[in-house]
Amino acid sequence: MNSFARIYYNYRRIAKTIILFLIISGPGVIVMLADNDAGGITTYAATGAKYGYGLIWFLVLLLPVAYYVQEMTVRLGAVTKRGHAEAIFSAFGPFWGWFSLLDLALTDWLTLVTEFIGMTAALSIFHVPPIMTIIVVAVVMLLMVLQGRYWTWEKIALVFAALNLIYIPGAFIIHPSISNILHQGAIPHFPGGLNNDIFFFLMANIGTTIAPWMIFFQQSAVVDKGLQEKDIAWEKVDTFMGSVFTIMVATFIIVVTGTVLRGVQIESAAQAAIKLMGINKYLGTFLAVGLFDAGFLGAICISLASSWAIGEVFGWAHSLNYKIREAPWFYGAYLLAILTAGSVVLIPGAPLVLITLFVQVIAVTLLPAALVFLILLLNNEETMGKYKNTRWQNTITTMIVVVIIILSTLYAVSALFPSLFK
Amino acid sequence: MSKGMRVTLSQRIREFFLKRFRKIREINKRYEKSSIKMTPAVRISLLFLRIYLIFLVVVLVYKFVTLVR
Amino acid sequence: MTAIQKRKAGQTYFLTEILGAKVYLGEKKIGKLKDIVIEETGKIPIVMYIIVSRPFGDPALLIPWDKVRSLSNKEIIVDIESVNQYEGEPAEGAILLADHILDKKVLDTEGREVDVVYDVKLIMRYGKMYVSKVDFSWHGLLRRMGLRRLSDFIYNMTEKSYEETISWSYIEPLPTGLGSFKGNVKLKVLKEKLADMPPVDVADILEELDHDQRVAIFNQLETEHASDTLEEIDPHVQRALISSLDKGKVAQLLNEMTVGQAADVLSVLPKDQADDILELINKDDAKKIQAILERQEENILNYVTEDIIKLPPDMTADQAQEDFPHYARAKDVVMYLYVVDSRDKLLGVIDLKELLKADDKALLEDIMNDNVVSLNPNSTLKEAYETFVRYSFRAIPIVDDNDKILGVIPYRDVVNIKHRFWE
Repeated sequence: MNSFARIYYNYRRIAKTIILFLIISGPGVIVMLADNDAGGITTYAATGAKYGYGLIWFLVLLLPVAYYVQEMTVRLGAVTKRGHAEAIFSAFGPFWGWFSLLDLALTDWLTLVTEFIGMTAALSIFHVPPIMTIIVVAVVMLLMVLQGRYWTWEKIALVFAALNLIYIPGAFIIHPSISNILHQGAIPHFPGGLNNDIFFFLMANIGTTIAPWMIFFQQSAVVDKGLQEKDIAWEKVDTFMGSVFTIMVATFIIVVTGTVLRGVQIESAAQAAIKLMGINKYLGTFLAVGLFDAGFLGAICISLASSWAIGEVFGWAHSLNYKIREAPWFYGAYLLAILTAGSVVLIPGAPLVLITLFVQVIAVTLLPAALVFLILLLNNEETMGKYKNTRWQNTITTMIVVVIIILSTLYAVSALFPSLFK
Repeated sequence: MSKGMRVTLSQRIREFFLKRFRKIREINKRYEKSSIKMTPAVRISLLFLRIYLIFLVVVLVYKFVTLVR
Repeated sequence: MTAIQKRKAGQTYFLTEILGAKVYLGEKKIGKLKDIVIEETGKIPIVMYIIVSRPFGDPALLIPWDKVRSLSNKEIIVDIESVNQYEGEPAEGAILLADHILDKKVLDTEGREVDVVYDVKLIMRYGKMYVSKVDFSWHGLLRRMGLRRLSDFIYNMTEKSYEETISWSYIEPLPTGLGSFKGNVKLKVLKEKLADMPPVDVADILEELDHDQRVAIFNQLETEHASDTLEEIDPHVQRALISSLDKGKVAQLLNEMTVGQAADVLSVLPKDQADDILELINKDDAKKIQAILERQEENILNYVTEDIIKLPPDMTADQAQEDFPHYARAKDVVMYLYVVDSRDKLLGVIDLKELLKADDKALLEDIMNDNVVSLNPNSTLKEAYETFVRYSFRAIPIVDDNDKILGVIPYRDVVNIKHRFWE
């Protein structure tokens, strides 16, 4: 074989891999980038502003955490062909079923509110009135699902997911020093020592990386996409790429705020964007657009996660492949979630800060259960067959879940009783 | 006429809720038996989750009470 | 490819050129050709299904080949009742031409990587589509890189055939578990060794192939090698092969042979075809060949001897043995005894060795072989020669329509003749 042939052979293989990946990819990349929702962006921006590049290593550690958890939903969905809510009902009975479903609906709704807060805040930087933002967003979100095909929905969502990568070129505008980033960010250490403050930030970052709705969303999306056992390998790659993207985006946000806004107290991403506006117009714009996109991406995924879950349990037609007339309840739940969450943001004097705080706490009530159920379901040989967790997967996911449960519980408690850890 | 309407309306509302409750009962019945095999690991995990849930409820209630005070 | 071959071989397609062709159901476009499902049934795989990809994530269609009405590089027209009922995935273990074969490595018999499957050639014959060839030539590479014009240009400049396009018959049965990234295409013969293979073996391979492939591969051989191979091929196959070859090429091949060999080859052809070819060979040789051909057509009766041992069926073996010296006197053929009835009708043959081994009291009709290979008075010398080669007898009787024995033709006479006109 001459070298031309060899080059061509490898080129075709790579091209084929990419094409196949693009066909299969979707749920993994979308869920992971949606994970960088409005709340996530705020967390990263605040982390960067407070500790500079100092906690980048920690985010990199979160990459396998996100991957291993979400990867389980892929197998569960592709093998059992049903969503997580239905799986919990079926495996653990009505008590845990209703608990998960109601808790999910509540968490999702509250998170949805935070996404709307993020979106309206982001666009008000460009002097768009909140009511406009909410109406336009609601209409776009409706149009996205009403065309009646999962495939189209997924492609549109992927475009918004790709827009989330806007932070990457954004970070290059400011020419950060790569050697500084590596020196300060690559080595695990706790800038300023392991105190309550840094603990709070670490836990906040974990909280934004693993959220209960992600588990429900990806499993349902895998089912709705109609993925089969044979697609599992690709979907794993999809999930892995997604987790790489999400960590990359998070890192670049930290680089931006860590370079430019070092030492500035940040309450929200929108506020960070406004501050950046003053320093570099493009940078501020990037952050604002990115924030809006993050909120939007989060909103479309979170509202769908609830609709799918409710549809599964109530036995309604629950697929994006249905027309509105074929699945009225499914789309009804979706619309209801968007409209109510959107309206809450518009209520003058609504306790938005309290809601933002409350989200984390409510999420913590669901997260441990969802994670434990996930591992138990993945060990059910009857349904999973050869796709059940291997010993290695069990070891690593159990470790992850134990750590997440402990840290997120501490986080929730510290959020409820700020004085406790001081 | 209007009275008749009102009766129908309240009847409708009642029927609506009855229907929903029936649906919920139906779901409860459908998933009555948990399908997963109750191995010790599953038992322990579920027990832990119950205790954890109770703990969280206690914490939340405590917070609520302190807030109200 | 010459025009003649193209016509003979039916319409051919390159896989990479028909992929992506728009698929129509009547006037309505339903998707694009995504892949082709083949099945290895006989010598070459046959196309079973086409896979049609559809826009907007609709599931692909799996349409049986017999629903395809027309096919070109631009558009494919199918005739199906409804689109939805053909939604489906190819069965487990199905072979997808584009996904599983294209761009795979080509390995030779020793597992060395030869090249890459740049393209697959398909051939349409009697409404069925077959996979005829695998293209791993650099022309294929150029075409795949969008440099078709360059490839054509070079091709026309050099006027060489696609020498690295190889018939599917040279491909080992495909391995199971072929996937998008798994498995290679393995050759049955070392490509570079095809030229080194003894002509007898090449002939054997050619005899196994079907006609079009045979012509294609034969055309790839160098003239001298081809000429040697042609001699070794079975006469029936020879005839078909020569008929499909360009006459100029045949003349070239014959020039490489001795006149005897050339005559041998030409003798399988109908007279007018042979004459056409003879005109293209140089005059001296043509004359000699012509002479031989004529000799070969000579009737065997001129070579028949009537001096043979004829015995009645009811004679006993010891009697025959006892009188053998007497019978054998002044006979041309003494190794066989011909058992005949009173009217000279041939009943059987006894080999002299069998007579000697036989029971004394056995009758000749008991020990004779009554399944006699014989020739008729119209047989030519050539036919006689072929019969000798086939059965290794030392003499063959000539009988008329009533099985009456007219005489015997001895092998040595034919061989002598052969020597005379062969060399």
